[in-house]
Amino acid sequence: MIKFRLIYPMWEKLQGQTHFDLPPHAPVVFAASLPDYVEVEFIDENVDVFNFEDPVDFVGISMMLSSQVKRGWEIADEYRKRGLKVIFGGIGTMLHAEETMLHADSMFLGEVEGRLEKVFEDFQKNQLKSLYNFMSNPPDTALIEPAKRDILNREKYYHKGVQMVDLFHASRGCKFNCYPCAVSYLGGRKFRPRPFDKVAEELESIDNNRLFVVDNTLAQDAEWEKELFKTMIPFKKHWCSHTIDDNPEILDLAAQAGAWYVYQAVFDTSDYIRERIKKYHDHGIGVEGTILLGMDNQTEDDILKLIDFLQEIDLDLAEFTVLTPFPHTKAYDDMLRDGRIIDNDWNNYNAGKVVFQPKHMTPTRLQELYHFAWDTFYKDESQEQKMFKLMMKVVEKEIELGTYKKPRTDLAEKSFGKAIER
Amino acid sequence: MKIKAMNFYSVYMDDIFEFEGQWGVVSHCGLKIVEKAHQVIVITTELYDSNPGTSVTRWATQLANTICDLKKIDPGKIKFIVHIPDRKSKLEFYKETFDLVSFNTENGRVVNPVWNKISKIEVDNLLR
Repeated sequence: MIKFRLIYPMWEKLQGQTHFDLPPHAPVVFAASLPDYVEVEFIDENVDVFNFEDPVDFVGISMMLSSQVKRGWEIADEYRKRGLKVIFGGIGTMLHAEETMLHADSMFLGEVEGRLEKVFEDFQKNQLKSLYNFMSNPPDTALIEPAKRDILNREKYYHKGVQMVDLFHASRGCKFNCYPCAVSYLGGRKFRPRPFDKVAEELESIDNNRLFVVDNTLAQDAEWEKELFKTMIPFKKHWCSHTIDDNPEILDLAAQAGAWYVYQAVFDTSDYIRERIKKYHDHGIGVEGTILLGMDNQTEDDILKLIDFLQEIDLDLAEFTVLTPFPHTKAYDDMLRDGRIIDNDWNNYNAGKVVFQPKHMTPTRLQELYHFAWDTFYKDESQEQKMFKLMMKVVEKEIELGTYKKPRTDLAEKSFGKAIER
Repeated sequence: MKIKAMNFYSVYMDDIFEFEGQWGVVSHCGLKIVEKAHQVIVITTELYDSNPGTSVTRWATQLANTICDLKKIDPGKIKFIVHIPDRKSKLEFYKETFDLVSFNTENGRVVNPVWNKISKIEVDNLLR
């Protein structure tokens, strides 16, 4: 057996926002593709602690966010000093591959299904390659097995006895290529759905009634969306997701399939946005507005109007981010050419700190407006109170369906594994 | 691929150029080369969704070197322009732009790109 320690590095949480830790997705998807002779120990550094002295044979570092990479490199450097081999993977690695290479014995780029046997064989033969590159060669989605969630320290993903959502995906790739988004680089521009029997198999395997469907967007193919929701209905889960189509038939099926709330980008103050939110609500689906601040077409006045607009459109939640020029996006290319990137510290690439020169205001002013947006939206009712209301909506639905599970009393005094200070 | 790339055909693009982008990914851009007495003007056009790989901005240095090698261009004479075509979007960050990329030359290779916006009129004047 190879004792493989898979580490998900910690990152600094955004100031002023409700803190919660969700069970990570990529590591459990990765673990499902490991050969049988690999004994995996998973460490989510956001909730777990580990000791560099613990006996392990091989170390993997899975990175999702830019704000994780520096910590990932630090962990790798420490292990490599001790003579252990370290392999990196995950989308954070793909975004920051050139720099990561300096801290790695090996890097895996792309999707893992059907590819890890070779990597571990090479490790056993002491012939680990510095780069396994499958960026332009994604596997058949039929090879994606149900994620291996038993590697998670499950009790760490509870807050006051309430289990956090599990992450789940029904497709990869994205046909869209949006300005601030790197998904087309990471997963390709072709929408690649998983076979519905595999989707059903995975849903069956998840011991959680609440999910976060993490597909880039579900609104990529209307017929597929309908079939997906029909597949999901019998499992009686409730879930949040990125955007879904707003046509009545799809919304009706989504509601039957357990749509709890969806993310909706609010990019202007148009009736289109107002009506779209109403359509979701009319089907009993909540809406969390995602508001990106600092685009080149936004003046200070536009941002202030947008903040006012949010008060009128009955959002259940809102999440504000500042434009962040992540590598491999058009935003990054544009700002690189224009010399507008003012901060190259990846720890600050968390979508809450301004790292570029905005077109119509100073970076400081944009930062102020970002904080003002959060404060204004949640001035009468805190984020935690709004989340609680949204939670109660799903509890009601679960009670109706007979799927409600009471919070665990043994974890009532804990939040993500730590004792609650009262 | 060629059919989709037609959307971006313009006077700044004579061919679709295939190159090996980051991590060996097949990538495409528009290409126009105009030889002048003391310089060679190279315009690379970003093809957005018709480019399956690395952008011309991210790969500017490697792309300039590749083109110099393949087209036998003296790196000291290259005037390298990155053309981002208009995507016919309402959003202004998809409008047409041109950047003249200045490089240093080291050991016969271009290095250290610096982008400077130039106008369409300036590009047209260079091509004349």
